[in-house]
Amino acid sequence: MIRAIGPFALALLLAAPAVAQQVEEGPGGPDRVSLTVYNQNIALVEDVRNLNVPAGRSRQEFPGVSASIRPETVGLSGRGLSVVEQNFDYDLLTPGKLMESAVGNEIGIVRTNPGSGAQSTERARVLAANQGVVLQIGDRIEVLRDDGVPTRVIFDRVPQNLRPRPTLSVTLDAEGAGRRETTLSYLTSGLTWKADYVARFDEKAGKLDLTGWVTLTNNSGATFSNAQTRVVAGDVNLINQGGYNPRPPVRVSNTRGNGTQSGGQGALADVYVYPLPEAVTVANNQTKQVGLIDAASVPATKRYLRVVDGFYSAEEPVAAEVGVIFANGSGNAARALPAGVIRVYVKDEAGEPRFIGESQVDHSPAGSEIVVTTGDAFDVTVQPRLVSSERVSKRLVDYFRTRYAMEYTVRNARPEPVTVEVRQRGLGRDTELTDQSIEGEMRDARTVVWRVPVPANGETKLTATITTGG
Amino acid sequence: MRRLLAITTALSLLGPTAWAQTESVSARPDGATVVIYRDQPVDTVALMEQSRQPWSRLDRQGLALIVETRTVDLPEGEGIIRFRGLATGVVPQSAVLEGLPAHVVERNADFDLLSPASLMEKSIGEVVRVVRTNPATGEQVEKAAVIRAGAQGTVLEIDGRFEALDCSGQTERVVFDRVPEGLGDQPTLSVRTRAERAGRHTVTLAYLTTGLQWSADYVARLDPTDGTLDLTGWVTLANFGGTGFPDAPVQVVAGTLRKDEGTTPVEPLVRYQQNQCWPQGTTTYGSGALPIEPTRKEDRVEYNGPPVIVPGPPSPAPMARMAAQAGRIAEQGELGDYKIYTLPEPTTVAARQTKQVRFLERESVAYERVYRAGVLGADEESRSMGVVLKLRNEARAGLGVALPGGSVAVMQPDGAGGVLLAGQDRFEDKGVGLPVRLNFGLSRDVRVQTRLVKNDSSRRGAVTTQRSEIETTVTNARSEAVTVELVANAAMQRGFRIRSQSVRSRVDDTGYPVWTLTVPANGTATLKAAWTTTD
Repeated sequence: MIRAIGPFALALLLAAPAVAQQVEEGPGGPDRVSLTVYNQNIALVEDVRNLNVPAGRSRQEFPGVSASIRPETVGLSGRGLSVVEQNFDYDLLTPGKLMESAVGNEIGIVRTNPGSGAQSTERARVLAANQGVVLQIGDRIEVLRDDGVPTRVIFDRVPQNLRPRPTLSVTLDAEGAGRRETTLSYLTSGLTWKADYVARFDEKAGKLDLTGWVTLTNNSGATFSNAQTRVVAGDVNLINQGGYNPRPPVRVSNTRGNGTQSGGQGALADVYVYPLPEAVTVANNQTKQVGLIDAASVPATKRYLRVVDGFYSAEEPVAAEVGVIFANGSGNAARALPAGVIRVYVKDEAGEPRFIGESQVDHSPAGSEIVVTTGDAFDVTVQPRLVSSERVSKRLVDYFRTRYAMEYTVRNARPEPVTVEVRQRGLGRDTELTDQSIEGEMRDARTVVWRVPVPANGETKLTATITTGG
Repeated sequence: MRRLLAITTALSLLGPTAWAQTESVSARPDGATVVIYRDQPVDTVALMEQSRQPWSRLDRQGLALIVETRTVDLPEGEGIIRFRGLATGVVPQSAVLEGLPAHVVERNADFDLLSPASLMEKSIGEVVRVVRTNPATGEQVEKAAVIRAGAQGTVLEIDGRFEALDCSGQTERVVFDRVPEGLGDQPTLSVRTRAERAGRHTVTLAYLTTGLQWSADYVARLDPTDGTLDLTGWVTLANFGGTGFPDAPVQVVAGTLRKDEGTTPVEPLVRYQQNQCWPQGTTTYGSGALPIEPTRKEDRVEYNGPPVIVPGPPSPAPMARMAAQAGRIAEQGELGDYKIYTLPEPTTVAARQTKQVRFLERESVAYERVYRAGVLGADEESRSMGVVLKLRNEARAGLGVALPGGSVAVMQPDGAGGVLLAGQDRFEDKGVGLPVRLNFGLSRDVRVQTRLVKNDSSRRGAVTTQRSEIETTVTNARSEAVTVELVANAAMQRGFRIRSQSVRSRVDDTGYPVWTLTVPANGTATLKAAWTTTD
């Protein structure tokens, strides 16, 4: 199974024909490259090359830059260099362009006689390349392949401005000739990153183990070899995502964790910067993952939650949401967590890890309480019932003030007792809570919360009278 | 432009190079466990219907966890382990690798696929060979060439001069010496490792994949003589992916779990070759009006084969087989707050196959058949009442098991020894202790009509009190007595209060006050009630 990549090149050498000498040696890719990747499908590339620049004006090409480069963000610096102009040429070399550029020039044509197979070579001048190609051969005017006979066209040169891939070129004004280090920096789209976490939750022990990965995705069209890479958590303000964005960033919510501890990472301009531990090769069309966090035994709890919006009777019981709650505030988990998806695993009855759900978390500074909603409980349900609703006052100005008598049937078919958080939303002003079977708590002026204990295989009826609105 | 190819290859001969990493390939798993989830209830019929639509992308829907055991050869020092034979819908960022005694430097998923266009595009600057066949003599001439431009029409450099490929009408093909690095037949997952010593290890690779779905379906056989039914539950597994799992332990998880919309497989990037030659018009073959089209293969004078069809995005083939296993029953267990069903024995979940396994078998489940309608205001004409089958998911009613949501087909005896389909309905996940209510459409025989006898309102200050007095008549054209439930739909209005009633109402499990009447065979029954609302 194991083999080395090395010998592969040997076979190539043997196969490499003499024509290889014809390839002109141009400057290759960058000598050093560093990447700063943001969450929002944008990255800053710093590309260092050792260039031999002649004195005075010269044109330098930079092959190997990202195909999704935003040319207006290009900056170039180097000893004694000033930029006269920079061009981003996306005029691609195609057969059609090649023929267009040959108009007025001579080409070679090789006809193959379909009967005898004999080949005849002639020189021709291209007069036009509209709809069809019109040629002047000696004193004859002909249309290329007018008779359908196979005819090869041989061009003497490729125009300078036509390239196989979009290319950045910069006209420089240099003080003195010689080799020098030049740094090209630019923004590119097509590079993005997010975090992916695996949380192994042990409900009995009330702990979870958290492993996080930085997931870098490169659709930029270029491969960055041996790049010093860092990723930035937090949104920077972008005015124009520019051009074609194959995957606009998905934002589930704009809420952030509420932690107040500093994260221990280089916090810069209110974003967090995570340098990857070593240089990586970020290939085009690749998703790369590098370890970010590994925290064991983080205290965690499970929560059942049902939010009831407004006052009504639900004809069917509604499943409670199951959430896993932990804080990135202590131990080796005490660090800011970049936005990403947390996937939760538990052990099944045979001790095998099994996935139970995933949810998106936003950037969470250290010390935040993080809730991962994994799914709906099969066995824990809440069914609200509007027992009665009545007007409170006879005055017209109090028309909307209403006294709602609510009853919430909280059922539990699990073999252990559970506590379910019931949130009643949609309260108006001047709320009064009376006749509560369990003391509730105003979460905010519009929401009341009860924590309802339910026995194993049993149910609890929570009743409350809410007078509100007006 | 690339560096001189000969120089780089020569360098690699001079000594061990920095990029020489040892690579090891894990071609296929030794065994796999398949756990299928759902983030919403699945309707089997709709799913099968969808699978027949050519545009459906069921290979990118659904969710399953694949837990594979693999034997891998860990290279010493810096190495790469490639995992092949993963499910086609793998979500690479979800992978979890355990049991490898090495530092995993990074994990990579490469999704640059090998296609004619990517082969050409990635070979720009490389040396290839062009083989030309003389149409008359059949003589083949081979020439070395450098690719100077790729996917939008190929430009070749031959002997220092330039030609376009496939524009001359001649038979010519390009021969490559190797596949450019990073191009594969399918997305691959690899890890870069750093280990003290080499060795062979058994590792667990777990990952999420799309393309697998499951649904629950029930068949209920009614026995009206004693008011019980026999309930059979079936799990349908469907694999819309391109990977089969032979002899795999299979589990399905009941319960709605959250799935992030970003948890989808990478869409492999497939480039299409778009050959653009120069204008091809001639004096005889319409020059002006002829659109400039890329040359097709048919333009070749020698070509006699079938037309070349440009492939569209792959769509899953229709279900190949339907397999039913009626033997044993899937076992139910607990998984966190979900129910997990383990199939009785390892089974083969083949690509593009559905499979059915029984998971529930209950006899003599008590049921109640009632007719139900709302009572609100005056009815112009009599209305049909809804037919409702009520079950309680409790042990004393003969049930008391987790019921994953799905469809129920109810069969009833036709009186001549056969059975009839009485109707079908769906329900959501039902835990133990919950009522199950199945609606079977409207009855022609049991009808209801409400007459608003009196409706008046009074005002006191800013408060208006409305009083409604109704008389509801239920007629039964059946030759047996029936139970009907009349629901007080006005109960959600503010200040609702029942003032008088001929039958005592009770609040049932829907939370609404309900009047229950028994209507004799071929007879009628009447409810008289009055209520007020204060607003």
